[in-house]
Amino acid sequence: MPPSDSARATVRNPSGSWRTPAIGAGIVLLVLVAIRALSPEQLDLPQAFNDFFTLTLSVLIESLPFIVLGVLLSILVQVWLPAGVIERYLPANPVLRRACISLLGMLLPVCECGNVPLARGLIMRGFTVPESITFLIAAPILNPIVIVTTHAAFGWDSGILVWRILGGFVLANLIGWIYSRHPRPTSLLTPAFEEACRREEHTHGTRLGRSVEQFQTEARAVMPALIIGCSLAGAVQVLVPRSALVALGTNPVLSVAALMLLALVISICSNVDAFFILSFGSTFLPGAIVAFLVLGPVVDVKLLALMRTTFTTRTLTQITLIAVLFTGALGLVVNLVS
Amino acid sequence: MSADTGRRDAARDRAIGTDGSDETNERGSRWLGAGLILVMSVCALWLTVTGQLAIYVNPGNTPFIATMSSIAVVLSVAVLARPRVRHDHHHEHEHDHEHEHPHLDDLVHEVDGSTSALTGDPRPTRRVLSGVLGVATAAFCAIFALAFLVLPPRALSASVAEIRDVNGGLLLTDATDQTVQLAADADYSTYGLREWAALLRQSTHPESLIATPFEAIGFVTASDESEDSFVLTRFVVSHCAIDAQPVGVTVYSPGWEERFEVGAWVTVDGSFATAPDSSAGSPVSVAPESVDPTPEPDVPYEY
Repeated sequence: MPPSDSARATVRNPSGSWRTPAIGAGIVLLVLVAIRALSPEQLDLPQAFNDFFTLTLSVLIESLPFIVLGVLLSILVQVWLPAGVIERYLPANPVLRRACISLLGMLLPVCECGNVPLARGLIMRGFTVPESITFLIAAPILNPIVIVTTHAAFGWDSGILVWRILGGFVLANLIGWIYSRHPRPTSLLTPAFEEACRREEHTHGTRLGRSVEQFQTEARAVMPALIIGCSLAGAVQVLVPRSALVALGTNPVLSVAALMLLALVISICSNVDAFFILSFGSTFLPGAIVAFLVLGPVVDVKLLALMRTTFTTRTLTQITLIAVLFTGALGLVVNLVS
Repeated sequence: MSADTGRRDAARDRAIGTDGSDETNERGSRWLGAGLILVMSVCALWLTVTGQLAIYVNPGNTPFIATMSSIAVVLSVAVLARPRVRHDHHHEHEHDHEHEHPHLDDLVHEVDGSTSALTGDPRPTRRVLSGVLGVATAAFCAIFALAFLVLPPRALSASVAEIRDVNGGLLLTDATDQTVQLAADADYSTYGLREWAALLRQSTHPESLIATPFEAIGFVTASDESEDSFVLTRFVVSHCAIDAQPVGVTVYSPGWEERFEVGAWVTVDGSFATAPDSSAGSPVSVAPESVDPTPEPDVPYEY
């Protein structure tokens, strides 16, 4: 139905009037640079605050490029890839389809932060919610960068690399299968994201304009969550003594629990977590390390804040519970057989 | 139009308010997305240009961060420079989705997942709570962005080293395995604290290092094993400061607490010797010829 006169948007700035807002944006950019340049070199603040802020910023600066990359890939799959380009290569059988989707990270290698906007983009493109969750959980583990760095860190020692790949694949498909049984999968999404999906279905305009609009939408959704998640991760680092966890390292059961807890709070990027945990390799048993390497990319405090932009609290609680139980069991099995 | 749709419209109208508040919401929405990315990216680029990015991340990541931050600046400016579009809200519901811009209320829902305004949820308490949470989130993010913009970069302090247990991890990557070696003809001149600490930890006969010259810069942390010794410490960063691990070498220096505070940066020049204090954890420690205060290096970590 064509829109009525009253339904038409009243454009305050017609298409040719980019000049004024563009000049305004340029001034804003210059002002930001000037503020940064004129800021004090020394400021006497409490040491605990400095440490918290430095740790928070380090996670944020590390995550930001991956977030931007994830948003760009999200724009690519939503706006630029023609319908059917991805879908035509996926099997019709739901189980096989999810298995293939869990390997999409091999083509779109982004760490867990960037996968959130990308998973949102896949849902907006028409993927089902369980398929998107499968991708979200598998891609941070099953991607070439993570496999190469894990191999560089551990080689084939104790089968850690193989257990990580298998564990990530099985966990992602297990959670995907569980949610595929859900009678109304869209109820797993936050109402606001559901609304955004509905709005996206009817978006018109040039591809470039839609890309800029999509960047705004994803930035608005992800940035506040990223800042809060990074702040939580930074605060935990200052407040929780790591030596308390390391002390549990040689117990077959407690070592798994300790490194799972560390994975939940440390919020380190899956691209480099293998190098980080390598330094604990002599202290912890292989099962604990596998549990760390599988659980960390799936759930941690920063990632949960990001995922909250898309999924309800109830859904995230369930995913966390399943992931913790699965990786705990996986860690114990690895400790038994290695 | 169904009754349910009517309720949603009414709820949405309440949430949107007048055209004026709609514009305010739209502007707020832009700034809480593109504005935040713009501030973060400008700061990241500033740190890159001034060489201070190494305080937060491994310098090996600089090209990637600089590239993606530059792209983010361009896209954020494009979002902020995009002409604003105002819609007449007296259109039919079927075209509600054509609102080109989301509202601050949407942000509230994306932050806390509340359904109240868009679905006509009658629970006013939840609406109020979600509104408060949304505003608090926006305020926190704005303050955080401002702090990032104006506060000077600071490296991690000795407090974090104590929390993380100096030498708690071994840090024997492939790279160090190849470079750290205990041999008569080994070249120790390029060794940093990371290599020295790894060598002492992995060697079964650290006594063979006795009389080997030692010089390094680090900060002072207290030794758990000897009151007469301190640990010359540096953080080793694999990727970013969140994974920083403190490594160090024990320096025998009775009365060090009267001369240096924990966290003070010093240059230690001396050689390895049998640890005089039998309670020390290692049979070998550094016998210093001099321990001099030194400014914090521009690059405070080892990588």
